[in-house]
Amino acid sequence: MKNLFVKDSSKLDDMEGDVSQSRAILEEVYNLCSATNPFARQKACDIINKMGISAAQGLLHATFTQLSFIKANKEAERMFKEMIINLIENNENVKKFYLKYGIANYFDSESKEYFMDIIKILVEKERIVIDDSDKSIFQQSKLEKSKLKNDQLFLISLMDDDASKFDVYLGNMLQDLNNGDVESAVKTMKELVERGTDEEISECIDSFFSNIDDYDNLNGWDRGYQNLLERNAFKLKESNYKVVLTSLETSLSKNNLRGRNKYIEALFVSSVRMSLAKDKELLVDIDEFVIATNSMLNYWFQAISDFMKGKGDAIVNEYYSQVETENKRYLRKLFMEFYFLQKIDKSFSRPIQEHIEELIREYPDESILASNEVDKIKAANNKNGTGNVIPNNKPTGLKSTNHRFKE
Amino acid sequence: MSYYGIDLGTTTTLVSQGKIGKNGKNIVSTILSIPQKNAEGMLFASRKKLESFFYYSNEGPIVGYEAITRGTIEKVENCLSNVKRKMGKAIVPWLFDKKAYYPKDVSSLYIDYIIKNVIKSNKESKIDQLTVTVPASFTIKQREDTKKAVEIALENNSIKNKSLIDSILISEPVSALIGYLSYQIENGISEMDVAKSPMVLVYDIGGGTLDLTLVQLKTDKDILESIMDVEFKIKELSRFTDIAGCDFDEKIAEYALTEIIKKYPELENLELNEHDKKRIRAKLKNSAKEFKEGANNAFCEDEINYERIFSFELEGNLYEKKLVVDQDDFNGIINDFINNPDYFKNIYKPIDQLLERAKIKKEKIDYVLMVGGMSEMLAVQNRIKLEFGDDKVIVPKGRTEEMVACGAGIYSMMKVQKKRIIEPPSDAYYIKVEGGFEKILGIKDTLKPVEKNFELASASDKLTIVLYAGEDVSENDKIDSKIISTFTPMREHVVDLGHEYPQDTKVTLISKYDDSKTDKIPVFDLKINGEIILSKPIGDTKI
Repeated sequence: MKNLFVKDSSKLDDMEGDVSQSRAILEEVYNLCSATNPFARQKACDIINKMGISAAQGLLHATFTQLSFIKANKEAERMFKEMIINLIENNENVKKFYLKYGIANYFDSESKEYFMDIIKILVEKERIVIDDSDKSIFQQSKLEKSKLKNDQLFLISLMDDDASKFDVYLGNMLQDLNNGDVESAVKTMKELVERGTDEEISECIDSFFSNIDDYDNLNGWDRGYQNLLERNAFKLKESNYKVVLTSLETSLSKNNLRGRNKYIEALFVSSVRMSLAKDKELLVDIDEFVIATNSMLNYWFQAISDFMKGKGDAIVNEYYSQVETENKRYLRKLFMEFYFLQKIDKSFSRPIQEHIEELIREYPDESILASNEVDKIKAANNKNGTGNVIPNNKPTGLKSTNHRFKE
Repeated sequence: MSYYGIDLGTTTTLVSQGKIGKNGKNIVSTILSIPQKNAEGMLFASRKKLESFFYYSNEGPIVGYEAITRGTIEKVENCLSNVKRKMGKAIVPWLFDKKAYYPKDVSSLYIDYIIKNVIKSNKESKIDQLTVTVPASFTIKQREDTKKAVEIALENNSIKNKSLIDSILISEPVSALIGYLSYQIENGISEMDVAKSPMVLVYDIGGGTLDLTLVQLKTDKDILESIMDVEFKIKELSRFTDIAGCDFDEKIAEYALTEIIKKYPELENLELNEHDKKRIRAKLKNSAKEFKEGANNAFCEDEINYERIFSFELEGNLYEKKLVVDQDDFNGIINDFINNPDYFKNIYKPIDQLLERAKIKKEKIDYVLMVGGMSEMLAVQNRIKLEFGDDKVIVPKGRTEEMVACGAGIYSMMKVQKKRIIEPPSDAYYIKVEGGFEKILGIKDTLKPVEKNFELASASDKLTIVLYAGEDVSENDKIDSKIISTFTPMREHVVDLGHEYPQDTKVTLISKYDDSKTDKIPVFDLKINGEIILSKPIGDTKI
């Protein structure tokens, strides 16, 4: 009873809260970030911490307006984030408040990303738990459904119940494909591939490629899709690359697809590039595995070339010298295409170029076929260049034309 | 003809009617009595105020005295108070019987009560002109919601005069100044010498907000015969400050609780359910309000001590404690509000901030007019007098609470006579751009549109414009973090551009205040490559 007047959930029922208090918190956040000594920084934090739960709204407000400023000072940002984390960890209502006004009914996209990161870290470190009552916050959100779905998925991804989580994910993905919302479906697939069990990954990949409408119809392919798939590519990891590659190949074979599947190509190239950017040792493992597959080899070659572009050619040379399979012809064509499209960085890949020039001389017929293919690609690109581009669904913001302002 | 003014206060709502004064020239107003209903819903008495209190009963929503008497006993969780503080904010609505109530819906019920029980029972039973007061510092969202509350109430009463809504709002401090000057003219008082073109600081501290406005008065008459002879030039408005009577009440209630726990230590660690929490809080705060007013009155009359019993019932037991305080004790309880400059609810700090913004020294203020119920408090008066001197501070004793409503009724008649007071916006408007903010409208940009050029941050067919309100700065390069800390989120617009435009496409935003209204709602045109894409009020899309 001694805490009867301490602010509780009933006082966290609006985004802004007590305006005077929020203003006071913003001033202290300003002091925190502009202070040059640790004592002054601690003083600002102490003042905010003393406000207890009722500081939640002011701290949220600070992320709308001062985030760049806060992030510019690492120590201040650490202390700022710690204040939010303490509030979330110690009070269920604050957690719900940030889920509601920081994420589900967010005002500012940057602020939302900030809170999503915090929540994700706290869940991963098992410092908080997301339950069904948290999910209902998103169901009650006033945001349009398309915006909301991704946030719901984010939340579901943090929930403990893995089995039901997978079902929800998969259901969402299939529904998105059914509605022609490939972007959302790809995002869901990415989540599942990165987090799922082997069975789930396999089911997910198979479901995706079995249900995509224009699976083998290249008319549906353009730069818009390529960007979309690249943006949402999953990471190949030590733990999942076998099942991912096998599932992709099974899916190709099951759906009787030949040649270059553009969806798989973009996804595979991007995911390999993402994975290998930080983990080159994985390259050798994947290399060994993929050589044993059939159709994946083409994509593997392309992925390596793509990855190594501008970064050296030793691995490519080594790899190429080892290839002796039925896919060699196709690989040669791919290499030639790259060459004709001038995609190989001259300054770094001179040995590759020389090798390809040698191949062109050795296989003139294949060279003509590759050259024709490149002409077709160029013609298609020119067509796209006239404005036939799938609109980017993500709204943009504005840039200032005078660059004097600062945050 | 029927000219009304409504002071839609945080804790009380008042209504006045404008009329011609004794000399046939001045305009005056009368505070109208509002019939009150008792717990049985029967009209039993008339008082000059309606409690801004909502209770959702089994028969539906009720407001005022009946709501307090029934709600606090029957179902305290269905009671709402201080709703005005939530006006225009992003809140989750209150749900009663599956119907959502937003602050504007609740506020509309207070106006509805007045229309039904006061205006419709008047002889003429109609409204020729109406003015509703809002804090000067209300943002566009808050003003819009207040207007919607009025619209809902008018519609509920089948009043379809849409022209009433245009320019229906006036800020509370200006309304109070009108009310005070009219009263001075009508009664031949000369406390405020308008002939010397004084700079007046109106200090309006009520139940829920503290509102400041700096006004330069002028007249070309030697002797004022009517409020119409006075020119009002608004120099500066305060930013929104929710520091007021209810904060004092809560502080006193906290103090009382501490004293009760000292007497009954078993209460200290007792866990309460939500119902009891809300019930006991409401009970203690009501007692605190009475304690605050009673103690103030006692010390104004030079009594040495004041005492009052604070009590509540819990699980069949009565817990009570008689608090006895002298003036020093009392001032000690509320000291942070009065004397602690670092306290975020300090009642003097907003004056410093206002004068700093206006670049006016304290000495240049000729008069401070104190209005609003809380200005009756001795400690508050003394704090202001300490800064400005006794001779400059005017407190219309006994009438401080009704001055805002009086002015509103008078202003309704002034509007009919084509006398409009132009109020500047309290905030400048900014939009968030990549890496910072840029001002699109300053508080002085009221005469012509402001054109600003931007570029699309990336290729897209949609554009997000995020609008903030905050303190004005003269140049964009002065939008530093100190200024940004004053920003309040307003709206996020997602504008459909029709088709995709590449990154760096030139975008021009032409912003202006809508001249047709005195409410200063910004509107903008959006041009891309010189072609108008959108033309709309900034305030018409909610996030």
